[in-house]
Amino acid sequence: MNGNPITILLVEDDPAHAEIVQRNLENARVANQLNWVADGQEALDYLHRIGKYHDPASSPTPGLILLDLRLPKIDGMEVLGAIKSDTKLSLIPVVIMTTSAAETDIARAYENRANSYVVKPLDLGKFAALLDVIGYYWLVWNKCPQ
Amino acid sequence: MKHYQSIHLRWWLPIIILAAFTVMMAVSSAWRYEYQTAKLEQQTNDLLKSRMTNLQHRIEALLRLNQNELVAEEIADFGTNLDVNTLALVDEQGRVVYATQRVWVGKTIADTMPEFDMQRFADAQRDRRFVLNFDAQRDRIIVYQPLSLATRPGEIRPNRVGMLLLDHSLISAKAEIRHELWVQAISNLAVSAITMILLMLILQRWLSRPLNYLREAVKRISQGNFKTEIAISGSGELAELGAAVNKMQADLANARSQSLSSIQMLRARERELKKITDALPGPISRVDETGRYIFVSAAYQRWFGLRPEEVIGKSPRDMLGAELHALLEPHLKLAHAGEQSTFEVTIANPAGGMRDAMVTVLPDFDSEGMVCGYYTICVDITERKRAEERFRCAVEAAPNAMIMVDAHSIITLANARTSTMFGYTQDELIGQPINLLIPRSYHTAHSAHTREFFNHATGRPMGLGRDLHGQHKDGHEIPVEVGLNPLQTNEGRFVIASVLDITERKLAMEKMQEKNAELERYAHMVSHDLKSPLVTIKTFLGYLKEDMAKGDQVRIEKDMDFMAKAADKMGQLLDELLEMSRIGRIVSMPVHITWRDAVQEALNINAGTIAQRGVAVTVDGADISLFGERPRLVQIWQNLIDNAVKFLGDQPAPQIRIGVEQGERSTVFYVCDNGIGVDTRYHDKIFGMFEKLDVKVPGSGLGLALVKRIVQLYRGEISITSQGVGHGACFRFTLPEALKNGKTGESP
Repeated sequence: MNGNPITILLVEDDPAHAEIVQRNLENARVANQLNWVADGQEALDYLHRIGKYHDPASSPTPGLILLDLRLPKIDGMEVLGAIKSDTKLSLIPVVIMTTSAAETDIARAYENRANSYVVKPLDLGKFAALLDVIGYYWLVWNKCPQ
Repeated sequence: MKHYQSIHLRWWLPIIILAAFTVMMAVSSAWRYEYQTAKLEQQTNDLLKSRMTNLQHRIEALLRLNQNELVAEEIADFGTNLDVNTLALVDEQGRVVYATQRVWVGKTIADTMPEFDMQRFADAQRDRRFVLNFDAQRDRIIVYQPLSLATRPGEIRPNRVGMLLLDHSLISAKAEIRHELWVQAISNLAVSAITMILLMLILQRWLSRPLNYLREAVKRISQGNFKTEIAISGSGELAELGAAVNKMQADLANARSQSLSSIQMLRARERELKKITDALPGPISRVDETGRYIFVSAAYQRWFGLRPEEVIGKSPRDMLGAELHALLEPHLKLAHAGEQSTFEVTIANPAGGMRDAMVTVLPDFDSEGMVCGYYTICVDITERKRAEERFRCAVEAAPNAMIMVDAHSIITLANARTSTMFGYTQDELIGQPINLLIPRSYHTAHSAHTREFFNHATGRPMGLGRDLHGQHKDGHEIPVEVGLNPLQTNEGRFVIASVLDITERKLAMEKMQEKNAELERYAHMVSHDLKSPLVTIKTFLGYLKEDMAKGDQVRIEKDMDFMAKAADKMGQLLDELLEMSRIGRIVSMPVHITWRDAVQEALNINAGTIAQRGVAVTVDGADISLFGERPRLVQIWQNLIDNAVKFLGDQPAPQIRIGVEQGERSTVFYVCDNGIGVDTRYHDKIFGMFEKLDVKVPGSGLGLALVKRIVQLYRGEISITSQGVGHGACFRFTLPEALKNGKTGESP
C-alpha cells in the first residue's frame, strides 16, 4: 500500500453531497486529503493553479477526481473535456459521480475519456459502500503512470 | 394498231379468181396467136420459096421448049392449094406475059399490080435473087422470083431476065388461127365459170355459213350472253376458231362472275366503310382533284348542319366559309405536294357553342402516284382541350411550384407559384433549361440524375436523403423538396416536378430540434436536480440515525440542517417547474396592463429584498399599454429584479434601473444593475434551465429560463449585456405580441 496520502479533488455543487463524500472518506480505512470545489470554473482554476489555488502545497495535483456533471459556470462534461485534452492532467483518473443515469450523459462521458461513471444511489448504505469501493479501487488497487 | 379490211369471200373470191383466170387466158391466147402466126408465116415462106423455085425451073424449061401454053397452065395450076391473089409472069420490061388474071396480059405491073414495088423488082432482077417480103399488115406475102426469058419462043436468052410475081394472102389462114383460139378461150372460160360457181357454193357451205354462225355467236357473246355454245365439227381452222371462241366465252363467263363477285364485295366494303365512317364521331370527307366534295360522312351534318347530299359536288370554301377555309388552305397546299399535315382549329357548332377539332389533311394518290384529291379527317378534341385546360388550371392553382420539363431538360410549363418562388416570370422560364433554377454546383449531378430518371421513370421524391436546393433569380438558394412524376404524352416523355419551398419547414424543424434539445435538457435536469436533494435527505437520514445512536448533538443538528435545506430546495424546484410547465397555457384571462403597473407590482413583490439590500430603483420611459396574462407579464420584471438583487455582490451603492426605449422598429424594455455582472462566456448559458453561476446564491436556476420562456411567448427576444464581472448587467427584451394586442385590444 502506498504510504503517501493521495489527494482527491471533489467537484460538487451541492454542499450536502460534498459533506456526504467527505464523511465517507473520513470513515474510510484509507486516509486521504479531500479538496472540494463547487463549480466547473473553480475546478479548472484548481487544476491549473490559478488564483487562490496557486500554492502546490495547499492545492496539490489530485490523484483522483470525483466529478459531478451538473455544475454552475462550466458544465462537468466541459471540465472533463478540458482535463482529458490537457497532457499534464489527462492521466488523472476521473470518476463521474452524478445523479443522472441518462444514456446520453454516460455515452458522452466515455467519449470524453472518463475513467468511470457512477450514479449516486439514494440509500445511505449504498452511497457509503460505493464511496468505499471507489476509494479502495482507485486509491489502493488502481495503478497510474507516475 | 394495224387496220384490216374485210370482204365477202363467197362472192369476191370466185370473182377475183375468175378475173385472174380470164386475164391469164387472154394473155395466153395472145401469145399463142403470135406464135402460131409466126409459125404460119415461116411455113408459108419456106413453102413459097420451094414452090416458086420449082415453078421457075419448070417455066424456064417450058420456055426453052417453047411450050408457051403449058406455061400458062403451069401458072394457072400453081394457085391450087394456095391462097394466091395474083401470080404473074412479067418480062424484063415489066409487062405481063402470063397472069392468073388473063386481062392483065400485055399490061405493065404498075398498071395492074400496084402492090409490087418496082424498086424491089429492079433489085431482084439485077441480082437474080429470090425476094420475099410482107406487106405492112403482114397479111400478104409478095414474092419476086427472077427467071430467064426466051427471046423467041423456044429460045431463051440468058440476058433477058423476067420475073415471077406472086401475091399470096395469109388472111384466111390467120383467121382460122384466130377462130381456133377463140373457141378454145371461150370453152376454157366456160369451164372456169362453172368451177367458180362450184367454188362459190363450197365457200358458202363450209366457210361463209360457219363464219356467219360464228359472227352471230360472237355478237351474242359481245351482248353478254355467255351461254352460246358454238358447234362446228371437223378439224378445220373454223372448228378450232369455234373451240377457241367457246373457251374464250367460258373464260369471259368466269371472269364476269368473278368481277361480279368482286363488285359485290366492293359494294359490301363500301357499305361497311360508310357504316364505319358514319359511326365515327368526327366527319371524314374526300375532295377530288377539281376541289369538289365527292364524299362526306354522316358526322358532317352534326358538325356543320349540312346533309351529305347538300355537300357533294360543292367546294369546301362554299361549305365551310372563307374564314375556316383560310385556315385549311396551307394544309391543302401541303396535300397537293403529297404531304400529310395536321392542325387544330375551333369550329362553331350548329347547335351553338364551340368545338375544338384536330384536322388531318391526307393526300389521295391515283394509280400512277399522282395526287388526285385529299381526305380531311376531323377528331373532336374539345374534351381533351378542356382536360388540358383543367390540367393547366390545376397546375396553375397548385400551392407548390409545378414545373414540367421535356427529355432535353427544357422547361415547358411553369405555374405562377414557380414565378413567386424563383423570381422569374413564367415567360422567362418557358424554353429555358431547368438548370436555371438549380445552383451551379449541382448542375452536373442534376443532369446525370435527369438522364437516369428518364431511363427509369417512376413517380418518386427527388434526391432521397439529400438536401435539395433551388436558386432564386437574385442568386440566393432555396431549400426545396421535389416530387417527380413521369408523364408520357403524344409529344414525348415529360417530367412533372412539384417543388415545395421548405424554408419555413426547415426553420420550424430547427426550432423543433432546439425544443427537443431543450426538452431533453429539461428531463435530464429534472432527474438530476430533483434526485440530488433526495439523495441528500436519504443519506443524511442515515447519518442522523447513526448520530442519534451515538448521541452526537452537533452532528444531529448539522444533519437536520442539510435535510431541511434539501427539502426547501426540492419544494422551490417543484414550484418553479410547475410554473415553467404552465407557460404557453393560459392560466388567467389576458388583460390590459401598462408596463409601469407591471413593474410596480414586481417591485412590490420584491420590496423586502430591495429594502434589505438598500437598492435604489429608478423607473424611466413613457407608459405603454400591454395586453396579456397579468401574472406572466409581472413575472418578467419580478424575476429580473430578483436576479439583479441576488447578484449585486459587494456593491456599496446598489442600483437597479428599469425602463423602456421606443425605437422606430421596436420597443425595448430593460432592467439594468450595477452588480457583479456576468462573464461574457456565460451570456447564453444563464437563460438555460437550472443554470446557476454561483452555488452560494440561493435559487433553483429557473428564474431567467422562465423569463425567456415568457418573452418568447409574446414573440419577443431577450439578451444580456455586461462588461464582465464587476461591471453590472443589463437585460433587454421585447414583447411585440403584447404591444400589438395592447394597442388593438386583441387577445394573443
